[in-house]
Amino acid sequence: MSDPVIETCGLTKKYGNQNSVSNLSIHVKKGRIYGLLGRNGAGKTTTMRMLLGLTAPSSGDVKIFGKPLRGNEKTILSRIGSLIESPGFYPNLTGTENLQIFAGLRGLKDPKYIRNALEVVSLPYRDKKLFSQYSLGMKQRLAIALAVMHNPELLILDEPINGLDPIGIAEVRGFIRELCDNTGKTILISSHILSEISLLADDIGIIDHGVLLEEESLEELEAKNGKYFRFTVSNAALAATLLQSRLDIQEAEVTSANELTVRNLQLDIGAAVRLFVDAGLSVSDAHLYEDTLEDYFKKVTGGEGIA
Amino acid sequence: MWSILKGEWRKLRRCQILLVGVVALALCPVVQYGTQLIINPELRDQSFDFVRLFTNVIWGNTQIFLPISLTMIGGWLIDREFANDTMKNLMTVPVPYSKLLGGKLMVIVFLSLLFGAYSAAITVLTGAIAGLDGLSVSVLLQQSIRVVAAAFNTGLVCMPLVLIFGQIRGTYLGGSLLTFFLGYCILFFKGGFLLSAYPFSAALILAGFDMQAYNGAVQSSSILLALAGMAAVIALTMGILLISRPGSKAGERKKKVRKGRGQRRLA
Repeated sequence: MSDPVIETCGLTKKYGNQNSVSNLSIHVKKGRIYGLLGRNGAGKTTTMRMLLGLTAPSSGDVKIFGKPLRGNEKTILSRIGSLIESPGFYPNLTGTENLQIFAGLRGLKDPKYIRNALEVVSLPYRDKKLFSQYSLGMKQRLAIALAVMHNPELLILDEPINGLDPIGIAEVRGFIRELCDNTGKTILISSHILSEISLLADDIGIIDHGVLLEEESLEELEAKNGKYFRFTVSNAALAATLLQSRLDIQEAEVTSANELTVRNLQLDIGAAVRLFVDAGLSVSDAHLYEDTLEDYFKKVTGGEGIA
Repeated sequence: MWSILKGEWRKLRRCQILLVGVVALALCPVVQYGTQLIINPELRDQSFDFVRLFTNVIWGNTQIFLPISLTMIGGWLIDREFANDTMKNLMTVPVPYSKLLGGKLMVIVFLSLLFGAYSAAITVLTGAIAGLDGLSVSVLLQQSIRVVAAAFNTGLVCMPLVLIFGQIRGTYLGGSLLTFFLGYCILFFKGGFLLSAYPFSAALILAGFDMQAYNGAVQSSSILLALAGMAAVIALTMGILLISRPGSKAGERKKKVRKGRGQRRLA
């Protein structure tokens, strides 16, 4: 396996006595989308800021493209495109004028870079509209255009779909997926929106209170997700007893007066329903359920769900 | 560095804060001539001509109008990178922070040259409308060069103040007032070391301004001391540039708590 594009080792950021990020070790593989998932305030942005050298870590190391970030900022950062927090641009300039400034600083002389970047995010080239007149969605699109303008190998995107409408979200999602699949870019994306991460990421890191709780591929996480049968019957306790005594199913759990969960996939659901009906129970639902990523998130963070 | 300068210049498009300098420097010759009109006729300078008007404008620009304008504009140029949250974009290019600040200072010094040229033009216009005597090609050239030179020197003197107040968030307006006060102080140094070495005085002296004739200085000014004063300003500027850091939270916008209508009603 190739070396990870991003590798952190014991990355920690303290503000006063409080750990914003604690002993974080993440591994972002080349040509894959890594979703950093966590609630608001979990430490995602701080982590990304440290990866870009915008915030100095209290301890720990950051390696990008196999080199330590410290001391190699010039060569490393020029190969990265980033969007951190809200889009920051000059309000007195148009979108194109804003990009011209950064294109100049990056040594991109050909206007095609700006035109292409704007085209990718469906913003007009040489529009007269000033940045101050942009909607939140347009601002976010311009920030994405800035991140991809110089064709970077690595993209670090902090909540890139914030402020976008549903169509915009789908467009950006498709565009990010395309960047990874067609051009082999490595992408680190953070979000507190679980569905987005599950739709987009190849690898997932779950961060909570600054601590990385899990780091696995989406396939591994899906494999870990539990599957179970759930029955809605007129008497769940009696149904559980019947399963234990007649079908030798010991994994029946009564979750409410009418609901029964069975974590044994060997169960013949048809036989179980017949058994309940023969015993005079009414069965209104029998389903195979699978834990969602949200359930998994709740399980590993030991708390509330996420958006 | 060229790309930084070009970028800084581009950022000035449609910036209304430049009007501060435009209005202030248009006011200077009008105020200087107007002062002649409102004082007691017996005290009025009977030989007030173009050369006198230019001299007054050079003094007024360096003492009041340029320090306020340049520090306000320069401070804002730095402060806006934090206020608009653009610093993070610049730092991740990456643009070295000291080079970024250096680019902004160069823009300010270049603006001081432009303001000087503009001030010379407004002075000629004001004098022509007022019907003053003594305008010739040599007077126009000599005095205009002096106005521009004094403006350039004043721009240099304002550099450390621009750096300091631009980097302390939201203080550039207060900084421009303090710079006005520092500029105004040249009035008090009529002799001794500070007559020549005080940076704002040095800006005038190095532009060929006669402090004895205008300011009532009790001794002639020293070019060497003026050069030393200016060198100290440049050394201070370099020192501030070297120790300046974007801060550990570069690009983190200062969060303002905005009250919506509902919140206001609740309060």
